[in-house]
Amino acid sequence: MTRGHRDAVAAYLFVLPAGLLLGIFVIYPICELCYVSLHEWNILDDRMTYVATANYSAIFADDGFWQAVVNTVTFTAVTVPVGMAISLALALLLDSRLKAFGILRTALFTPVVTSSVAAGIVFVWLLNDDRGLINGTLRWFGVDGPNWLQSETWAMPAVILMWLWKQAGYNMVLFLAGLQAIPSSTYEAAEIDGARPGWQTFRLITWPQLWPTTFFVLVVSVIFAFRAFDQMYVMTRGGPVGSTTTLVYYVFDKAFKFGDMGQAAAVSTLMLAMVMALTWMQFRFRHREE
Amino acid sequence: MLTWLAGMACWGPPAQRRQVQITLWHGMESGINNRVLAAKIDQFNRLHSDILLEAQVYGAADQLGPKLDAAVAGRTPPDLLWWAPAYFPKYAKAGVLRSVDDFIAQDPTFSKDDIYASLWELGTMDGEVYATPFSANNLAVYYNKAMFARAGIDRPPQTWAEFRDAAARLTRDGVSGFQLPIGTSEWTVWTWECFLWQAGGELLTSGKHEAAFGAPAGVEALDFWKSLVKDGSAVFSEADAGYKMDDLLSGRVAMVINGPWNLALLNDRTDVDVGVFPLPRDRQAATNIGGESLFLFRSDPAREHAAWEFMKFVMSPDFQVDWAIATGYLPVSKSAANTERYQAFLRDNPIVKVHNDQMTVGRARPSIPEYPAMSAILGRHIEAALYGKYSSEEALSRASADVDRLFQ
Repeated sequence: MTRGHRDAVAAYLFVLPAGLLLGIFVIYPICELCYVSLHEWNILDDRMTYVATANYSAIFADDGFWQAVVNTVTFTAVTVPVGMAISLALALLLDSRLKAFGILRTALFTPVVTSSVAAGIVFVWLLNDDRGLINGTLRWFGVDGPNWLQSETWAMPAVILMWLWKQAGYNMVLFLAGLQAIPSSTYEAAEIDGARPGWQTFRLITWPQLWPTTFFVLVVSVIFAFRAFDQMYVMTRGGPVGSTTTLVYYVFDKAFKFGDMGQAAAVSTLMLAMVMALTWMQFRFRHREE
Repeated sequence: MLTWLAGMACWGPPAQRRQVQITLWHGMESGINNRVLAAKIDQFNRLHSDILLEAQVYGAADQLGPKLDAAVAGRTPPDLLWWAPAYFPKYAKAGVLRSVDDFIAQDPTFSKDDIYASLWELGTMDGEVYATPFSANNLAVYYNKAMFARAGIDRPPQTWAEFRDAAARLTRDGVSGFQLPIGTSEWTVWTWECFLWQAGGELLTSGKHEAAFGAPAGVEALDFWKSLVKDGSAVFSEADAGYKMDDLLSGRVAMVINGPWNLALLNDRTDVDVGVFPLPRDRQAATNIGGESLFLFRSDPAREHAAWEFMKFVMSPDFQVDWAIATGYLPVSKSAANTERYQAFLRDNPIVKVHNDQMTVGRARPSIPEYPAMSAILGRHIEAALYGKYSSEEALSRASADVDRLFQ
């Protein structure tokens, strides 16, 4: 064995543990997923029947699937930009290095580490039609609040509200780290050059310097939003009339309510493709910017 | 290695060193029912020195499906499962349940005829019994007596028309007359099925592989529910939680549809006076027989036999009377129902008597593997109709088309 060979073997050995883990827990399940999506299978059965693309055509013909697509896109399109704006605003606020903000920072991060089931149940109470705190507060101002979770129109906004509250702290911490990585000498130099603190420094220094963080937050937020499930499961069960059924919820229903693992796997495969395409587009976009 | 670990696990305190250890999964939510069950299991373990039965709670019975599927696929189901009999065929078809026919035939201490035939029917598929009755129940209307008096209703409504009228009269001062179960789960569906039967409809054609609920009777039943919503005299329950009594007990609604297992809960609440009357009739009277059964999962002969011993213990008159009196569930055997102790209990508990008398008009859901999926389809379309997305006719014809596809 030559030295080069030995090096190569050593290199592969070093990569092996990570490679094995990835292979067993990521690559293999993805292959299995695609395989199941081409079969008819109820989870209890030992046999799978090959049905080619019948699962995919069944899904495309299902109104419920398209409703779930629209719901997921709406959910993502609202929560990502609004959530990022809120988190950035909070991060900017906390970045002013005042001592008292330490407590505030912890308080804002608490929702992130709270179990979404527990938080969901609390939100069900808050959003209760006539006894909830939210409608009670609205009544003070003379506004007759909607029956949030039982309304086809308001259930989605209610779930979005809960999501924004829950996720704000996570992105805020990321932004905060990004902000604190910007050297203060840049701001000082700008000040000497006559830049006014506030909007001008934000636009010319903070925003461009923060871009790598913003980009990362964007990618992660989109993926998280695409995977939304537990809030809906706890708060609305995907209803009323499917108005909060996201793609993941749809997969869950197909698999466990209807026992159709094949169709559930087909939707999951499509979701995987969508998320991969989105991420690829985002990275290309970033590449070009640089 | 595994055997060694399993061997180590047996080194417990002497009381736990039994030959056969079996697990029972159940989803009883009421504290009182749980206490009674725990006491009964203790009694069983004392009576059988070679068996140790351990109970584990799985949470809401409505939400068990995914958990059980995962447990079965992972080859770790319980030995015994307490669940609604409507769900067993799916698992029997998958070959993971053990039929109890040979146990029944070979056990001279057990009399099959003592148990109501309709309950055996619920647990039978293709001529074999897979689920043995644990307890029985059915649905009736629970109402707030004070609100009835205030609205000047002195006799419980007996027909759909009277019911609709009562609901409207009870709706006032921020109180709604009636609470409709909403959500796409089985609770909504099994409640609605009563109304389908009352209108003279059927779930499936006699061959049991074609939907029949889309017929005019089904449309009438769904239209009746919609009319209550349109009148403004019915509100929706929390999604998938139509079984909760909270809104009745806190005075938000005057009537809900529920079952006799609430007896203990109602006895605890002396602040509200709750009465019960049979479900209103249309062309005929009907209610849905529920209750739970025990499913026996395949394992090895020793464990299966131990599990059968518990099934037999549960069906004994002694267990049935104790259980029925403590919880309000209805006994599953004639000998239990006829005991002087139970008859005396019925005289003191008119709530349970209403349910007991209703057993004669009780209908059962079909024991077919497709039932859970069929229920999910129906639930979804009933909800859509109640939200006004479809007319009753369109909702049910869409649901029928989907259900028919299940049988292809």
